[in-house]
Amino acid sequence: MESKRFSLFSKRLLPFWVVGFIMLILLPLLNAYIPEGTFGHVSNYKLNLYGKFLCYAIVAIGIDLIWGFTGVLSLGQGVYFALGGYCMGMYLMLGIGGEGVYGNALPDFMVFLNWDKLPWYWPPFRHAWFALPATVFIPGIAAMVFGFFAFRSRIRGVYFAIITQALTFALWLLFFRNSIGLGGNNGLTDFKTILGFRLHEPSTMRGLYMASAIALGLFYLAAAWIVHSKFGRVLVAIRDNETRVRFSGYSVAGYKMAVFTLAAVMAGVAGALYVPQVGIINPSELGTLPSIEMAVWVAVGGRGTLFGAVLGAIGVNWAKSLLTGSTTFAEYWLYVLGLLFVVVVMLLPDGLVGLPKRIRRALPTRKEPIESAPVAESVTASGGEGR
Amino acid sequence: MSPEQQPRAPHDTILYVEGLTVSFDGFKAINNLNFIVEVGELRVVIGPNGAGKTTLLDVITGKVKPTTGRVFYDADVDLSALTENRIANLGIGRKFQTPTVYVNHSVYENIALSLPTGKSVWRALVSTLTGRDRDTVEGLLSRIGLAEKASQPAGLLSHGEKQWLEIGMLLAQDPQLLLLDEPVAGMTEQETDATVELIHDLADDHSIIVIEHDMEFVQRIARKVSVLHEGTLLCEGTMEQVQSDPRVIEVYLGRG
Amino acid sequence: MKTLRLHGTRRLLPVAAALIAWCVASLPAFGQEDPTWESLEPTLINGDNDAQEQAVISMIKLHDEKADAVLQGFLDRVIYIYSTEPPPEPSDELPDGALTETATETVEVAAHAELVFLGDESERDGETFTTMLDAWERQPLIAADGSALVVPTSRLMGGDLGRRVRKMATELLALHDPDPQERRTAALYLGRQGDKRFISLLESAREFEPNRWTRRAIEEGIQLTYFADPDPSVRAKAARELGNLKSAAGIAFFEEVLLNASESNEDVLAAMTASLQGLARWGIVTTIIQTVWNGASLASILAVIALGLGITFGLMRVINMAHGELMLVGAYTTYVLQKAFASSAALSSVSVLVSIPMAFAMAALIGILIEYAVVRHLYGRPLDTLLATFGISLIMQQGARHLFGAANVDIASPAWLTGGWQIVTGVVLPYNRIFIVMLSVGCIALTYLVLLKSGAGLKIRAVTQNREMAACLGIKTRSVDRWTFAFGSGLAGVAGCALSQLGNVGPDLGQTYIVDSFMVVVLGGVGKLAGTIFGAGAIGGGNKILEALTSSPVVGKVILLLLLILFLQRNPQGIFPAKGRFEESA
Repeated sequence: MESKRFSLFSKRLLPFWVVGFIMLILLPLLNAYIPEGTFGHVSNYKLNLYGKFLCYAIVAIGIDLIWGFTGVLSLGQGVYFALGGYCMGMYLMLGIGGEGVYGNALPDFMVFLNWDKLPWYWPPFRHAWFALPATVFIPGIAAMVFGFFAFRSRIRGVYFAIITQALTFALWLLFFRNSIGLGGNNGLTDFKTILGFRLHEPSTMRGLYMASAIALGLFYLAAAWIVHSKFGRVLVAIRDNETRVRFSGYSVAGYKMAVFTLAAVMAGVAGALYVPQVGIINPSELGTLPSIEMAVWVAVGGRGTLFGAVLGAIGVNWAKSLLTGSTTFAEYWLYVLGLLFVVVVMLLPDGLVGLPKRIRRALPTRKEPIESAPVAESVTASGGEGR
Repeated sequence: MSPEQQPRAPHDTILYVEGLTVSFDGFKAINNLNFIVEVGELRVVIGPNGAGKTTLLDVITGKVKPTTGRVFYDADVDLSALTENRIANLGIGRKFQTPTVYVNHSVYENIALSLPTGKSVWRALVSTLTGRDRDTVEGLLSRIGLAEKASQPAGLLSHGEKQWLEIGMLLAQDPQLLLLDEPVAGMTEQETDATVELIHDLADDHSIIVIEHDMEFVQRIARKVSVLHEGTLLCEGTMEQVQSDPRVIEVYLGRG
Repeated sequence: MKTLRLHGTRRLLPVAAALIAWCVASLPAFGQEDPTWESLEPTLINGDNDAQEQAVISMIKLHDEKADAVLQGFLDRVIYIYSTEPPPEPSDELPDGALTETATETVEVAAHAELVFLGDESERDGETFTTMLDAWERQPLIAADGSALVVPTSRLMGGDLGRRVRKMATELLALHDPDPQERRTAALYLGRQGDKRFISLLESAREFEPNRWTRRAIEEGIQLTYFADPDPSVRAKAARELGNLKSAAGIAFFEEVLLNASESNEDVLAAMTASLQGLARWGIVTTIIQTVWNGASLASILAVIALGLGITFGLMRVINMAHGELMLVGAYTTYVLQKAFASSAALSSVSVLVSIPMAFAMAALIGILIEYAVVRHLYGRPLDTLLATFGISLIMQQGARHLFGAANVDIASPAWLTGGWQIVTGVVLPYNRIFIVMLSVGCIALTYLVLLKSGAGLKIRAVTQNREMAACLGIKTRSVDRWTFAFGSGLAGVAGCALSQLGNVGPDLGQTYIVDSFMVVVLGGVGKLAGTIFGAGAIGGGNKILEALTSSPVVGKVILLLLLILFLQRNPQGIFPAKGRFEESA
């Protein structure tokens, strides 16, 4: 059937508005006005943690668009996250001014390296009007250029995954170098202010949290709009049968490039919001593990459903913070994560979102003939979106 | 190349293949093939396995680039320089050997996505179906007999239904030249009958190239037949002419 | 006390007497040039630094094992001075450091003193006593009553050489070390001293030197010595000779001389400049050779890794991200075997050879487990195999941390893999790398035989090309899958074993090479043995060449990756694409 028109106030979006209200309005209020120690109080630490989760959720939406809907697995979204983060980090770094350890207008690490002036690409980041848009454009342009070459030559499937991972690995090595002027191993840190607000004030943190919530909401709506548009249906068509899409007269490379760029922009913005909340950006964000972890958030939540992506990002990271928060279990986190990869891929191809349906289907009749049919497999993979 | 060197096919040819060679690592799938289809023609291409039939379609649709030689569409469009989607938008529709449909989209959506409008990235973001589009889709759905299954995911259709759906998608593209690669493979008797009818029907206002193995089916639709063998054109003519050609008999019988 | 003199009249009394007589007789002719042990011993005991130095040189010139043993005793600090009178109380005011340099000069030892090694120790009344062996003949010192002389250890003072003398003695002795590398280092050290007294020593060492590269180094040492000669013509000749010898030490010397402008003679300067130019040209040659070798060495490692990856990916469409951790299994297997064999020298020298099949077996075993538990459920879904096996890799990595600790473990190469084979001046191919190249060739040959010449390979290829048809023909596709995966995993184990010979083994080992190896598979095109080999060559060689050109491994790697992406623009299927029409697979 022709799919329903996208509308902000459709019934389908009701949960979105409810959850959005809780995340955007209620939690910050609980943080600001319920005194500490009282029931219902949300601590600064918690709110900050949730803020990070929201950023991850933004990345996850982008990954879901490119992977869940379009079928292109990128193992390099951490790159764009880090690019956005570094853009923000440079802005914050220059905002330190003379407050650094050395009391020098140059960032501390440059003083430490005996540099006497900023490299040429630094000064523009002094200005918020440059730095903030840069968090969108730099990841976006990087993704567009890479996407152009990769999609034009029809690098896809596992090849695309491997190449993105290799690129991530190469950049990870590159960012460790002091000579590129981004703080090397230690990255950028010790930020003091953002847009004139002191970063250590709870109110600033609350503001950043709310900015993350708003960004997540907007990106969610944009993504929902996209997947319900013809564009989104073409994406799913590409996932299911790229050749047919091409022979129907669509430029597959163009679509892939567009959605890949969009996903990168989301990652970049998420990175930019993430950095002031955690107070540091360093090459570890660029590692191959963080990037592939991001894909797993989406797999856990449910590929091909936006809600699943958000759920997966927040759920997995919540579990991670629970485990790594306690020292006795910290070293078991990698086991858990590893098992998560295996279990989700083998037993839950629709992720958590598909779990209820799977249970329901498993209960009355024992086994359905889904073994040999990739068709039936991918029909269920689109989850609750199409129908 | 300069314009005067460029061969111009007569205006009533829809497809003009000249000196086409396609080689994969030295193996020549198509070897110096010359092949002309006129506007409004229904041409059947037969030939034993490996004769280069599918490769010919690959070249026409831009999936494979010619090693040497040229392919002109509609008198003067050089297809060898274009990408698949550009070629499709010129009005060349192709049906594959195995049906290719979007298994997660509804049958309706499969047809709607194949409509010739709103294919650019930006258009697709805002494009909606007009009333006329809807009429077109519904008309096609009833033509291919899938009106009742319009809301089903295409993945749940039977093999024959998928073949039909793909033909429907092709028609939605509003092509001038249809390329059908074994359109009745895996169809039941009844479905085949209906396909024969459909092809006759389409032949009135389309140019069609059909690749087929099923000789009975070929006999039912063929007006002019081209026989390919080892990448070159063996002979051309009516079914009777072709069947009585000693070279064709040699090729078919000689190979069992 | 009289007994002390006894050692002077040794059992070889007639010989010694003759020697002394000869010595005395030839005294006017040779002066101090041919001193005897008797004349040297007092100097060694309490000569000043210069005298000691001369004495050490004389000792070496004796070309006597006994003399070398005495010097070695000094170096090992096991030689002692026994004097008939008790040594003075050690002065507490002096700091320890000062003692070593000045001890032999300032401490006045009684005239009747001699060098001894310690004999049997015994304890009495809380004091340690010992017998002594005469340093030269290693005979016990005998007391007047004919029994072994026993003295409290406090009566003895450690024999000592000045620091400079000590270093010199070390190097002079090293000229005759069994290890040719030691001999070379010594020759070059001595040459750099510019001390003419060493020339005769170096020349005699050259005579007996069996290793031609060491002979070259000794010659280099001799010429370096001549380069310090006061006579400009000698210096100029030496400069030319050093150039001919392609002496790296010469470069350093020349550059220092030029920097300090300490040479004024035109001839010498000209000779130096000419030699420097030649040396620079030679430097380029050696850099190229070294780079090619480094590339080949990396390529051979990548080839072994990529062979396994290529089998699982090319033949089975399984992206095995746990491949790196299967290498880890191989590396830790090598480690465990080395530990187990450590008790016996014979066993530990062959432990690497035993490790190769064991690493293969262990990794293959774990590969079978992975295939059985996870991978076999995911055939036909390459991206899912990628994610699932990545999960497995995380678990295995963490498992390695739990079992063997997060820190690197040390795997020592056996003696026959240490050192290297010098092909030309300035280029040494380490034996362990040569070993890996050979191992790599072996793996490729094995894979070739298994895949293309064996019945099992026929089945594997049949299943790869048409699973259904193969199944119809009665091939057990499931078990073919399992054994193919096991074979690929086993190759990973061998790769891990090979890597363990290059450096330390830690839980992150697998990650280091895995990205490059995937590049090899992508570049080479899937399912082609030749593609893997060429891909490995291109990635390994490219890595090292770009590294040499940009003098940075990271920049080189990034450029290589970009080149690869550009290459795939034109050849999306890699160097060796699958032939003919191919079904587009999602």
